[in-house]
Amino acid sequence: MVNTEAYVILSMVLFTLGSMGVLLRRNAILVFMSVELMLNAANLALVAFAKQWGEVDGHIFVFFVITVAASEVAVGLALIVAIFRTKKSINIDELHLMEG
Amino acid sequence: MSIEVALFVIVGGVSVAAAAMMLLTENAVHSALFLILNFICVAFLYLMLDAPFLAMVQIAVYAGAIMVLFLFVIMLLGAEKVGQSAREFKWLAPVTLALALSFVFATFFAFSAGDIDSNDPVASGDPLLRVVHAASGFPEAVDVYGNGELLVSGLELGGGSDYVAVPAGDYAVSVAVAGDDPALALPLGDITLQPDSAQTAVAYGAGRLPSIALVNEDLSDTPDRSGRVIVFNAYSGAPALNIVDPGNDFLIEADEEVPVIYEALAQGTASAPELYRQRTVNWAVVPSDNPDNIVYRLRDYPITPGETQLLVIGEEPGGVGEGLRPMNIALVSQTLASFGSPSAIGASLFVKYVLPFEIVAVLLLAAMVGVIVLTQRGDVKPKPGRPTRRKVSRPLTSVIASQTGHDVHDLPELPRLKEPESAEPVGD
Repeated sequence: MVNTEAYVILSMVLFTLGSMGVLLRRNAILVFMSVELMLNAANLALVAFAKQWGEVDGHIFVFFVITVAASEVAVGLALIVAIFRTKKSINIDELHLMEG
Repeated sequence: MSIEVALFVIVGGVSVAAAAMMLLTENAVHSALFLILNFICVAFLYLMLDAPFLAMVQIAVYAGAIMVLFLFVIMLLGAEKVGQSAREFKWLAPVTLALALSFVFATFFAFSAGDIDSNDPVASGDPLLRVVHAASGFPEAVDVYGNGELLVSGLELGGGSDYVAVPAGDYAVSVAVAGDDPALALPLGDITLQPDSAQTAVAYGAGRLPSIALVNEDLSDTPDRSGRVIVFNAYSGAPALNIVDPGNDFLIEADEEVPVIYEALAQGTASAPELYRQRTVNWAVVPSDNPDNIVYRLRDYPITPGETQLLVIGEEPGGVGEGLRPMNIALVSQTLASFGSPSAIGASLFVKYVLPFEIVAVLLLAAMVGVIVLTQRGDVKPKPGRPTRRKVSRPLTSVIASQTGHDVHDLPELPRLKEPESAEPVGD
């Protein structure tokens, strides 16, 4: 029997790695993949707590998070394709679309 | 170290290593493959957390659909490697590292101080109680009171109420003829209800003052193709009953050996819950002290998967002693789906969370429309009204000649088609 705490700590480590990826990587697609990693870490904590409390509601919430992540990926990748078409690059540092 | 802890350490370590490698590799395709490995590890952890359905969804949707979309876009854009550019925010990397370390430190501190695992979930569910009226000495329909509060009203002899949720605790149960003054209720006895349980109170006895007994129900999921049966003996004509399986025989010979299903079930006691394969049985009820004398036949009694049955052997009112006419009361309740199974998730999703489900469906639809709008190219507009035709740059003969391999220079000059002035190439 593994403690819930172990799962939550693992989830926290994965979340931290994901947030570092969002901040440090320059490839926009990598940034998106890091966001997916963060969502997954949160899902893992939700499932661990659902097991601890014996309530299936946590699983339902994970289900919704997966759905939202799928739609977010579809829209995000469409945005990246659209940006690549105009800027010919997906390097985050070269995208200054909002610059005055 | 148990095997579960060992598996957790291995799978968790692989998932963290895969996440780190995803951050460190330069090639975006390798990053995507490491992320798939991470997702598969997390799916394995879901399996260890009793969430088999989510594990399958994780592999199919995340590791399957979403990551294929990522790989597709990476290869479509040729974005495996992003060209090195002079970093404008040179302070970002050290600040990120400091933030991450402080986040890890703060959460570790919170975990060690909060002690998640000591917060054991309290048994919070109210117990479920139902009442069965099998007291032949009290043939009227009854109202049942617990501590003076009405629990069940109008319960006929031979009937069982639905489950009612009541607070846990001790109850002094009393019954009165239905519609009668509660002050005239006969006290039956005390019962104690534990939290998070399902119990059946059976009133039985041939005398004018019935007795009451509490049966612990087991509503948990049954294995495939089997049902659960609990037998309660409320029969007054014998001190104890056996239930035997004589097959289709009508009589049991004096020296015949028949399989005994339940042995020496005293009046007012219930058997332990037993699982049986799905079938119809022809059991017989015999007194323990006279096992050749069938007092009651359970003919074509069905055992259905996914159900818990409480089978009460009682007697019809009126007779005394030899004249007792036995009867059975079968109370069937559906078992609850086990934790984390697709049916449990579906039941919660479509009962408790219908509105969020619909909202998420609308969100998906909006995302689909948004993707179509985003990826549509705004600069392609077919010009209306102008006939478009492909510009032919070479005469037809030279095309044929180049495909058949003949030399066209020997042929006489052919008149060329006059091309329209305004013809434009169509398409990209």
